[in-house]
Amino acid sequence: MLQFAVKRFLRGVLVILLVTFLVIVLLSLAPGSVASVILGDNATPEAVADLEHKMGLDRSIFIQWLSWLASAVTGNLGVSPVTYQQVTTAIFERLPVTLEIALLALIIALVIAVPLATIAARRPEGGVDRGITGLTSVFLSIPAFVAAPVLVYLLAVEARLFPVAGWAPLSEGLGPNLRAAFLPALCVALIEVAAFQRILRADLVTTLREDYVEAARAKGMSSRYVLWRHAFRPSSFSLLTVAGISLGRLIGGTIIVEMFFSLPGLGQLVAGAISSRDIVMVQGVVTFVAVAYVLINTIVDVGYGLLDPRVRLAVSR
Amino acid sequence: MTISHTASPLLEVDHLHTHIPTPAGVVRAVDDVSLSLHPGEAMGIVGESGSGKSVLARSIMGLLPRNVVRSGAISFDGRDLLSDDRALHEELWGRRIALVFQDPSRSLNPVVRVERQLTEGMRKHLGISQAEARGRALQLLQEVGVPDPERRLTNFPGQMSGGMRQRVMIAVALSCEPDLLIADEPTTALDVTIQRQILDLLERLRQARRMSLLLISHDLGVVAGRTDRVAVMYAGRLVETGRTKAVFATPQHRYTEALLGATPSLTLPRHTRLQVIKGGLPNVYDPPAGCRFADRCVHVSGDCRSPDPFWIGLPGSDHMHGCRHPASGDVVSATAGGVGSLGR
Repeated sequence: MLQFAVKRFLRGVLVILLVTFLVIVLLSLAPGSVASVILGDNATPEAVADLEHKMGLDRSIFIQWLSWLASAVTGNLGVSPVTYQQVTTAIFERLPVTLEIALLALIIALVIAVPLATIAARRPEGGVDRGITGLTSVFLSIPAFVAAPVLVYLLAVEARLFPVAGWAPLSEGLGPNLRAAFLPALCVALIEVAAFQRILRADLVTTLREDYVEAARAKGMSSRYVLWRHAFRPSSFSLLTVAGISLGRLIGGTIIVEMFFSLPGLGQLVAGAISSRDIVMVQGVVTFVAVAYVLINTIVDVGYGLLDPRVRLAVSR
Repeated sequence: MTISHTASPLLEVDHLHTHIPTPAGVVRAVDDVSLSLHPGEAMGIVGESGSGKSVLARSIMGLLPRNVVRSGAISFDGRDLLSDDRALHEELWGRRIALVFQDPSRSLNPVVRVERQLTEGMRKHLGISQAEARGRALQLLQEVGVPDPERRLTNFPGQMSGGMRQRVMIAVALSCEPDLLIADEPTTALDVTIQRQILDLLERLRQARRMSLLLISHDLGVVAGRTDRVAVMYAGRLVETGRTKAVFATPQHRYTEALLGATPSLTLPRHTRLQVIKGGLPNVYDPPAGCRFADRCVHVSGDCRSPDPFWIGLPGSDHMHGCRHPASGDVVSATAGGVGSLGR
């Protein structure tokens, strides 16, 4: 088990190193530099070069990356040359918003997808199954920038159930906070529903054909009991993987929704940083998202062990 | 009939047909099978793979996919088992009729602990607390010969050997004291040395509980010493039924005879060639008229293909068969009126 954990950890570290290096390379390929952004459009090339030298931007990319890495491992992701804010401070200010949207979206997606999958799996290829697949296809094919205005119009403007835009932190109370988070989360969740529903349905259909499911039925247990107690858990592994990947993606990628609802989250932060060529901030946020991604996937791997004793046994051997 | 039962039969199957729709056509997996089983009695059902014996077992329980059609009549203790009523199934399955499956590594849920798999049925059917059910589970595991039952309860099936798993399956089946145990090839997936232990265990438990047993096997040796009566199936039909000893000592149907001839025996001289039954099972979608074994039978003659039903009993016994040219040599001229039933 320890060997397994160490391997997992080393692989995660490698992923993070690669990501941070690639970000520096990609940003250096883009035209313009931080120095020119700081000094403005009227700066002379000499002044820009001078500032670049002071900031160390004229060194080789590899050296830049190493020096960034050296301070990053101490938890210091640098100071933004554009906003003069500590990158870590900026991230942790924005993180709660994004994290809440991502988690809420995941929960909404599961709450919709799991019942749809179990209903569909009861009679594979039946009318209900096909209907549900069609419905989730519709969810899948609506991009967030279309879903957002439609949902806002229906649920915020017409029904007045939720605010049209804006954010209410938890300090203003749970009710206003959840109401502000719900619509953005729903927009993101709808796309995830299709994948979740299909994966769980397929695994359930396979599991429901297993002998042990028949054996449980032969014991006289009710369909509902057999479904939840015997079939659900062994069918949930692929769903767990996909949900983990989704969560990682949502933490880094709710930009559109955050812009639309003007939410002060990580997406807005990184979008702003990219347009102002704030390399330090982009580097910091991307690194943070990569770490979160790796961490979530490690948790998913450990989760397998908790869900499936066969994995636990195989790993401990 | 030599044996007269005072009690009425526990299970009566009357002209059962089970038709399975497939893309290639309808498979008549069970074709006009009748039999009855009395309380405390053990009956073997033998036949080669594809003879319909497993489908027969599942037809009796009603444990079949929704599109499978059963017709005829099945009554269990006066209840109509042909009904598709879920409530009836939930009431009878596990509580009155229990099933032991062929492969214990597939019929126990790999991600559920033994304790839950053993106690869930008892909690539901007997309405007892988890603590009580646990106590009974420990007792049951001891009874079926599982050492260290306390530890085994916390195990997952993957942590046990095949033999242990089948003992657990049997404990599960027995947990609610069913009246009828259907064992579908209960030892086929196990080592030869374990097979015997499991069969002896089943026999001992059956006698101790005065439970009825339907023992399904392709292996005549499994059924031989452990059942009161036997029914031989071929291509979805019964070909011969009777007291196990009588059927094995003086088989009448040429298929039974050939099947016994194809079974290795220690009493035969060494290096005796095994008799092989040439050919394969007839077309399952459109079986030939008359005796289904005719195409493979070395004693076949023209009247074997007559579409008239043929079912006849040996005088003075419940030994019955469907062969027009039986092994006992008596050429039967008369046809028995319609297909009879076993053991009435």
